[in-house]
Amino acid sequence: MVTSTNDTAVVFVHGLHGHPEKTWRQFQTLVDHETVSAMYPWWTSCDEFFYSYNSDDQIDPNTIKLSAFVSRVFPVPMWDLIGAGRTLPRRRYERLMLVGHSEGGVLVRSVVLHQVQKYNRLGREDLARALESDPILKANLRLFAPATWGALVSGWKGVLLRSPILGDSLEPLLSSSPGYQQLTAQSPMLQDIRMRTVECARRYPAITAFRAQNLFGTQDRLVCFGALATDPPAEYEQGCTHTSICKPTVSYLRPLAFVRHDEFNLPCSGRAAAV
Amino acid sequence: MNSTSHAQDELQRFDGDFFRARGVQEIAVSGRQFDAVADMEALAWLALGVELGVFPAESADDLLNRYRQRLSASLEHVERLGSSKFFPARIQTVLDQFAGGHRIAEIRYAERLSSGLLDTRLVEMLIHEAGETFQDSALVVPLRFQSTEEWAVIFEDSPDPAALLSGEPRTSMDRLFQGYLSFIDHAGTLHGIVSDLRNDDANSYPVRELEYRVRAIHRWRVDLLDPEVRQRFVHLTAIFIRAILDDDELMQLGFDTQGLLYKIETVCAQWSGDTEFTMNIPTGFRTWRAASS
Repeated sequence: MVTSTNDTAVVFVHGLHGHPEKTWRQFQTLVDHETVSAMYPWWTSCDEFFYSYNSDDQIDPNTIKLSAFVSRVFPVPMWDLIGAGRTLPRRRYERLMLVGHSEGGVLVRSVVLHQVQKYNRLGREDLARALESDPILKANLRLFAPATWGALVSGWKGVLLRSPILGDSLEPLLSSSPGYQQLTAQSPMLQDIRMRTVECARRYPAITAFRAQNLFGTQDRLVCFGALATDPPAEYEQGCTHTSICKPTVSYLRPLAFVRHDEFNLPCSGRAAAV
Repeated sequence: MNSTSHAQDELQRFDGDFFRARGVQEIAVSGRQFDAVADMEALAWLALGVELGVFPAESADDLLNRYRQRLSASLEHVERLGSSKFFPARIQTVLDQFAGGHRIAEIRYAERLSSGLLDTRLVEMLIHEAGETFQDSALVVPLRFQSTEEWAVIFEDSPDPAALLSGEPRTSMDRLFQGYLSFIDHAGTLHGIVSDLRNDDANSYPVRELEYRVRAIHRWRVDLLDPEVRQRFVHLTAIFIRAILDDDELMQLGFDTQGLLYKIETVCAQWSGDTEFTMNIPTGFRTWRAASS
């Protein structure tokens, strides 16, 4: 939804076998709900972008595509290049929120690192200046059930988990099977993303994009819980599953509040240094 | 947001999902039955979208005129097959008025809805959801249009979960299963969207009417009230349950196969509007498995 004076771009990135619309169901409508928008007026100054990609592809090529998309959205949206279908009003956003679910959380982290990589020929001082002035690295990250520590998919188990309708039948059982989770948590790609993100967050404490706010459902049996050492502590929502955690309803408004979460927008070098 | 241009965008998306993705096929070639009935379904969705203010009426008429020749041929084909086998009287009224050359906004029938009665964006989502699976004939064609012999041939293979996960089916059975699983997700998602609409007003007449209309337009694909379709669907579900039972890992985890069956039955009950829907697959799965293996 796009109005003329919005100053914030919110980019939503779904997870493995997720969907740009269904994964985020009611984010599209609740922000305009009379009562809800009165409670969260901040949302009325946001444009929401629901990014679509093929999650069967590997993380690295998907990172490059998402990175290109984000660059076309922020700070100046290039409507003709992002499939808007028509030219919308010109604007310059002041804030960028990157919101990921499950594998989408990993992709968002990876996009941040990809942005850093663009400057890797610079010397230390120039690099610090370049990173601190990069608009995308000023983004705030909000991750719903991110798969930063691994997830699981194979055989009939994978077929069931892939289904948003039937997957809930299996999720509870996997909590008693940490072996599966360990297996994918050791993926070299995930290890690399975790390690480099923590390293960057420690080296550049003023850059917000290296730290993410993480929210998990206590009934999530698909991903390992936990934030990175340099993130603020993960938050939990009682009774939510892997799929329901990021779907606000009139009786579950936390996703709206979570994306809005202001506290972490400030640099938190003290906290990072203490970890 | 300019609502007129947004409605135009929605119509453009509709055109892509419901009309353009399928090429015009000659009568009597394989898949023509599916395509012809799907064309009539698209017409009914278009009328519903105009009725609820999702699409601009004038542009919808332009779209209709662009495809009128193709739609007329499809209508003739469906009438030869017997349109009452696919659509209830309310939808047939839409088809008749289209045949009579009515403009889309002029189509009249009882229980007409209007724009502003329902959250337009949720209605858009409903139509998007229908559009995403609109071309998917993997389940519908075998279930509705294939002979008993053709149906039996598919079962010479077993479904392969690796092929299903990779999205690269190797056999007709894999393709059928892809369609089956996609249907379960689609039916569950449609029900979820209608539930979201209902959240605002549980006893809302427009929501009940919309739910009826969606079934009337869409149920022909997996018409579980048709005995033969139902029998085939139950057969497929039994194969699915059997495959799960044969998965040692899932059994070691203590997977609740009966719970899975219950969930599938619930989705089917919501889809068909038959609250008593059950598949009567033997409940003593382990015994049944031993007996059938």
